[in-house]
Amino acid sequence: MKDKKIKDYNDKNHTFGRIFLGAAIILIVLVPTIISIVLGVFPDFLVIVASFIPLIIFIIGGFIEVITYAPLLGTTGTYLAFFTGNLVNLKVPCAVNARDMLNVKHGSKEGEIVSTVSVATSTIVTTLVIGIGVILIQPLTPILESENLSPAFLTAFTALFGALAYKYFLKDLKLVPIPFILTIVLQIFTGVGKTVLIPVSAIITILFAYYLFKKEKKNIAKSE
Amino acid sequence: MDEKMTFELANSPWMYLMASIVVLFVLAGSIIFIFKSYKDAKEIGMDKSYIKKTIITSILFTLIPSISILIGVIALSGILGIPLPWIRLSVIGALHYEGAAVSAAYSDITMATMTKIEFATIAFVMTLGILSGPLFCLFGFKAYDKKILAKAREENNNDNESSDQPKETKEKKSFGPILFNAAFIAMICSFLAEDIAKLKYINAETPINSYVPLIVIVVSFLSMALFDLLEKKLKWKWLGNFSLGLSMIIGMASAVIFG
Repeated sequence: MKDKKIKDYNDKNHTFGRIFLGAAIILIVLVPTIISIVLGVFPDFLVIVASFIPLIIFIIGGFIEVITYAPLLGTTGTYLAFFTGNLVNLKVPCAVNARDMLNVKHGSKEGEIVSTVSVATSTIVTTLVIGIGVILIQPLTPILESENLSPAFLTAFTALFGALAYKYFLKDLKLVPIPFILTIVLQIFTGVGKTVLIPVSAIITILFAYYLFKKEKKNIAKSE
Repeated sequence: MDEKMTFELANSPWMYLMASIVVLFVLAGSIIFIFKSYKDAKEIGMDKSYIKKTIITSILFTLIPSISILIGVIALSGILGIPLPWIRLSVIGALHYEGAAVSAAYSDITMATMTKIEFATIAFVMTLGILSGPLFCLFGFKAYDKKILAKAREENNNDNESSDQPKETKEKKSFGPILFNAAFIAMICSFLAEDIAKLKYINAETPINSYVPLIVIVVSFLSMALFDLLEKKLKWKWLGNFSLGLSMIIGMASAVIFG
């Protein structure tokens, strides 16, 4: 009896979450559509499709994220979090933290309620902070758009990836030298862009990581 | 035919209107989710204080990281104006993704050279490139939840009160996380390689000196290292949420100095 009740409750949550997420996806795809209409232009479809290749890790990552984080976010929390984003750095730790603080069990109705409220609250706070911030930076726009600052924005992503390099290289240092040298050599001598660099270096790095992984397993097995 | 894009257009009232609609949708959705949970809590006789405590804990947890997301909006606004980064960072897709999306569409683009078509194309790439997660969630999550997670929950409920985390020991031995690290490292290297390789234009006419990207990489890399050190040595946990945004801004500032 209790099981059936939980099942019904769960079904209801799925229906509710799906309606919300479906509407949200439509809304978010409308944004670039309306931009194109108002500007009176057709976007460059070739560029859009070609961009998916360097972004492939995010596209595959989307599937992996649902599989990995859904167990930690609860049913309704998952639907909300997958629209509002910032999963790894914010929503997941926030929901887990709230459940830990209140000592409710994951998978129970209580756990579901606490996760959902936590993800929703976190979303509201982020949205409000950004919204208020945007209003406050309005007077700064002439400075942000000035000529003197253009080198800064020209290198914005260089700076982003420089910082990310520290964070992710450190996670698995032995995987770094091969793609690092390979991509620089390839780019200097062939001039190919990210569209080629990313898949080539990713496949080689993954194969190398797999080789190391197998080797380590063998060593563990031997020592045992 | 393909006219120039400008900051006036990117920051025009209709762009702000669109951003406001998205933001209101997110807020309204979240409020409805909270009300629904509140009702559910009442139904099962859960103490009201639980909801209140969850809200307070979550506000405190989110406040500082949110400011770092705002820094991301500011960083992107110098290229795309304010409303588009505002919309993008209010929904799925964090700063590193949006950055990757812009430069995947067009390397080295700024508002000074951008056309209307390029702006619209960037908006599409940013939106569509991250949609696999939400789409899979919409169509596949229910089946995944019923077939796999329901079982895990049952086992978990039959287990002792102990762990509500997935069993980490099992995860450590699997190749999955290593695979993603490897792919991500390769992606970062590819982005860096394009910038480092600009050194070959050392004598050519370029928008900024060809060695500047290398300086920026080193500066932002070292800033991140410094913040990491401070975070660990001084136990400033809050710094972790800011380190990426701040390192990025310090790196960008070095471009102004050396550019």
